[in-house]
Amino acid sequence: MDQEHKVKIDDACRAAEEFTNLYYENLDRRRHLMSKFYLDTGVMVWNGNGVNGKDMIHKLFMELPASESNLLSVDSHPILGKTNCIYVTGNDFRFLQLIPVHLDAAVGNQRTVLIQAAGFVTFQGKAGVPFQQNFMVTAEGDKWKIVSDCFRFQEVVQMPAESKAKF
Amino acid sequence: MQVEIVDGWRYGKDYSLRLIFSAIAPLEILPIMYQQDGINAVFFVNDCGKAIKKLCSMNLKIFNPTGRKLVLQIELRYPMANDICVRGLIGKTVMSNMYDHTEKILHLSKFHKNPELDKWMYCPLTLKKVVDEVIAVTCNTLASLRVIILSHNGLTNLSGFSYLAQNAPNLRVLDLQNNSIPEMSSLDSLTGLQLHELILDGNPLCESFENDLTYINEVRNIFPAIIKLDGVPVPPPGLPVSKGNYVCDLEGEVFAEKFITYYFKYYDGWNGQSTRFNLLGSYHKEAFFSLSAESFAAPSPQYSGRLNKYLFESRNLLKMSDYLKSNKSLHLGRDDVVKALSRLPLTEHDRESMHVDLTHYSSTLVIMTVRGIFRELDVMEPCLRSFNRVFAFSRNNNNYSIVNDMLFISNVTKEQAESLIARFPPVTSKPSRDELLRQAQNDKNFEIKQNMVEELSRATEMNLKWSRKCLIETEWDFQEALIIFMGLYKEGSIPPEAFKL
Repeated sequence: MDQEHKVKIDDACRAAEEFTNLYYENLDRRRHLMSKFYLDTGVMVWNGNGVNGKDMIHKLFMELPASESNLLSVDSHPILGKTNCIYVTGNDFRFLQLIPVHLDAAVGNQRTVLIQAAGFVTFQGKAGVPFQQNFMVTAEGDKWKIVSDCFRFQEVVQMPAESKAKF
Repeated sequence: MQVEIVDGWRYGKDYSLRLIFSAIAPLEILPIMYQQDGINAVFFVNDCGKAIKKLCSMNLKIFNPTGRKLVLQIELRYPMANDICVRGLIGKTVMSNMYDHTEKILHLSKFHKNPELDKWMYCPLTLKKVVDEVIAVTCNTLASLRVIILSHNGLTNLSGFSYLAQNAPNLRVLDLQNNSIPEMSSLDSLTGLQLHELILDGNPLCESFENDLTYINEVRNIFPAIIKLDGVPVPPPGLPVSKGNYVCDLEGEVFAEKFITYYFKYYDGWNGQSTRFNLLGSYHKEAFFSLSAESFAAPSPQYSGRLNKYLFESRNLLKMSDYLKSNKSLHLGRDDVVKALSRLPLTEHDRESMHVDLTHYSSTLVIMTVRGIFRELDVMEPCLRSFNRVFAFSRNNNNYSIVNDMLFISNVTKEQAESLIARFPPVTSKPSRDELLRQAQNDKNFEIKQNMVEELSRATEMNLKWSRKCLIETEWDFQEALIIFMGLYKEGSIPPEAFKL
């Protein structure tokens, strides 16, 4: 592992711990601030219900019953910018070219981190349940902002008979 | 009073009596000793002067939407067994056959089809008279009553049961399955019941809802304490109903479907330790992989085998005093990644309960979460695990490679174990060595050929279909295929469709 990788991995670890601390504290105590964690174009998928954009995400959080989360596990990786290797075809021969590619339109070339969190959460009116949540966060100034967020209870989802899983 | 239905055999008991009921509504009659008399049907009625008067005012003819009018004849006669006490019979049957004293359950499913009652009378619960009798006889038990089963009774409203609303404080479960309740407001008369469980399946009202949430909300308006609806736990107010797969992009759905099938084909199975190496091509050369494992409180006692096998690899940052240590359990580079994968326990993933959430799909980056249950193969006891796995792919047109793979493993909850154990077939024993070798060989050839197709496609820019075609013709000789391609390409005789993606 080279030095550059080490720095990025270390950065991702630090980001994950700081970010998740803040995130779950706000989820339980300061709901009205939750949408600040998201990019304006952020996506949140809550138990299969997808919500786009800060305003809708704010609405979703404000409607959720009071919660008490207990974080038990956090892991994270940096998502590295890549160089892609493409073949360029000339008339009679082809040669290899390395081109740097943007990580993604949504995050540009900002530092970007993938976080996986797991724990136990109790929502008022519902028995406590394990949950898992994944975030892709990207650096915006000195803050980490969520590009996409996927939350699921560890539960059995009852599916109507006609919409059996495709996968 | 004896009523005779001319040609009654033609219509059948239920049909003809229900026609009469609707003709005289809201008045009611309670038909006793219905029987065939030649081609006619005969029954007796008591104390129903008004209803008889109404029938007479219709000239004893009743409109029949599906055929000829129903013609009645009425005579003043008494049944032979005139000592039957109707009131007594309903009461006696309910208390002796339909009420469960220990569990406090009232079983009124298909009420009038109860053989005891059916023998003597026709008394569906759609008649207010009948409901009143049932309530009168159970009056003393209502205070402790816990469950009422009212399925299959053709009920269109519950106004007859409104007495329950104030007098059955412990009623928690109401089963109204397969009735004819047209709309939610038909249940208004039950407002006040502290129901926890309600079954409305099989009523016309269920059709009228666009989504689960409005359905649940309308039920909650009448029964605020509801916990389970149609057998499914309902989330508390504010919690959205959990849904299956989330897909942010339809094109991405196709990819996700293909990927999951491909990936778990090689990941799962008794050959996992070798077939997982076939996944090498799916990972980017600088891919990251790590796993973390944590067990939760209140697991299923039966399937909660310990997670020791994973813990030594677990990269839970909350348990690391120093991030440098975390580097040991982070695998970087595809060779290292597949090596790590091949060392993990052999698995079989349950595809039916698997959820895939595709949360990001752009031209360069894809984020996908897979969640579900797998079992470990090489253990004696059934050993179920819950997993949550997030993949990040870098994307270039139709080429995807995994750049990040994070796997979280925990024990299954009791609910997960119960949902699965019933339908997961028992683990088949480990296949023989020869069988395994043969399978491995096949898989290997498949993988090699697939790699050759992809390689040729990359080198020539022909699409996968044509690259495969070319390789089949040269009997999988890569050099030969390239030479032929070059020749044809110079001639310009390769059709343009070969380069279409």
